[in-house]
Amino acid sequence: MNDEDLVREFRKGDTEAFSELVRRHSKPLTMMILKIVRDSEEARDISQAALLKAYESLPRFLMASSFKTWLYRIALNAVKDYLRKRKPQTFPDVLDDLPNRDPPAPDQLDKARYLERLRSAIEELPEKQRLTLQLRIYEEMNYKAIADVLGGTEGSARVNFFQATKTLREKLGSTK
Amino acid sequence: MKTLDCQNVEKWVIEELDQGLTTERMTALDDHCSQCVSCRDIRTEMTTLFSAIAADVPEDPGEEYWKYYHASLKARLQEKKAPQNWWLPWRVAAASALLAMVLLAVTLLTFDRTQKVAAVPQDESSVVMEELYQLYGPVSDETVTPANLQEQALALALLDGREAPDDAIIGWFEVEYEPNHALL
Repeated sequence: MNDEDLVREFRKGDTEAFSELVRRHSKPLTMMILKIVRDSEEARDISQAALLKAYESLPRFLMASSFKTWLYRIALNAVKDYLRKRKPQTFPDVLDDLPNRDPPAPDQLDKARYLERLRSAIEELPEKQRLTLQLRIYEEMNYKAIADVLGGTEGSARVNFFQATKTLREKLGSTK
Repeated sequence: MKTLDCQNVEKWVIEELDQGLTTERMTALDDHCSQCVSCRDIRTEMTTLFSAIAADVPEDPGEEYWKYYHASLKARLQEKKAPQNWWLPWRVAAASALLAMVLLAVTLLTFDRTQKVAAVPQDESSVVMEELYQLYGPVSDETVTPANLQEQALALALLDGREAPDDAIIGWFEVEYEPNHALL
């Protein structure tokens, strides 16, 4: 049974159909949110809020897009709200992520610093550029799908991706 | 073969890393970068950037996280009642109300317009007649002749403090000799 069949079943009163939709989508959805917000507790809250919203709004879902696109759109709107409210993030020391506690090699230090600067630079990108970049690279979404979930056109999604990568390269320069 | 200048290198490099380039473009990019140090640097920086972003992915939070996730989501879902098609009767009611409002608005607007068209000349004429009455006494409808109209023009001109038109003054004196004129 595909998602659309499950939606129809749910509308007829079969609440188990929604449980199946949750089983299919909750983990990828939460991981997508986690990659953007980088906080597992927040990712859980946002993901659950999106699923609850979908549960309540499903009778009004016109099925003009796929259930997945619709659900991701709900979730990304919640992510946008969260990012707007959140203070500029200070990332946990990326050196903690290094594999051992011995003094890091210069190469590792360079990589860690680069990563720290990269995360900050991504945070500073305009919202749409940032989300386009993250959906394109982390989720490997095509530009049409990105436009569907974020709004706008396929062309504007391409431009946002190009601008985001250009800005990041200019900010990070040749440091590694 | 398509040539490449430095201005387009960054765009082509992003395309290369994002979706890939055609063989023809890839060759052009390789040839250009082999000769141009700054463009080669751009390509290297962009490659580093793409691989760093792709590698910087948070790990799966683990089994416990997902167990708690599903348990808490289930609890939150149970707090909510299964959604009904409550919106359907509301939509019908809202559509009916809207239709009724539109009909009412159309009726009222149409009514107002006809009232205004009919009312304006009546109001103006009654004001004129009132002024004439105050100046010259009662004037019956039967007495409205071209000469009366001249009288009215004269009266209005006097009221407004304007100079009365010549033919109105002449008309006024002429009608004094007409035996049927009500003002006499």
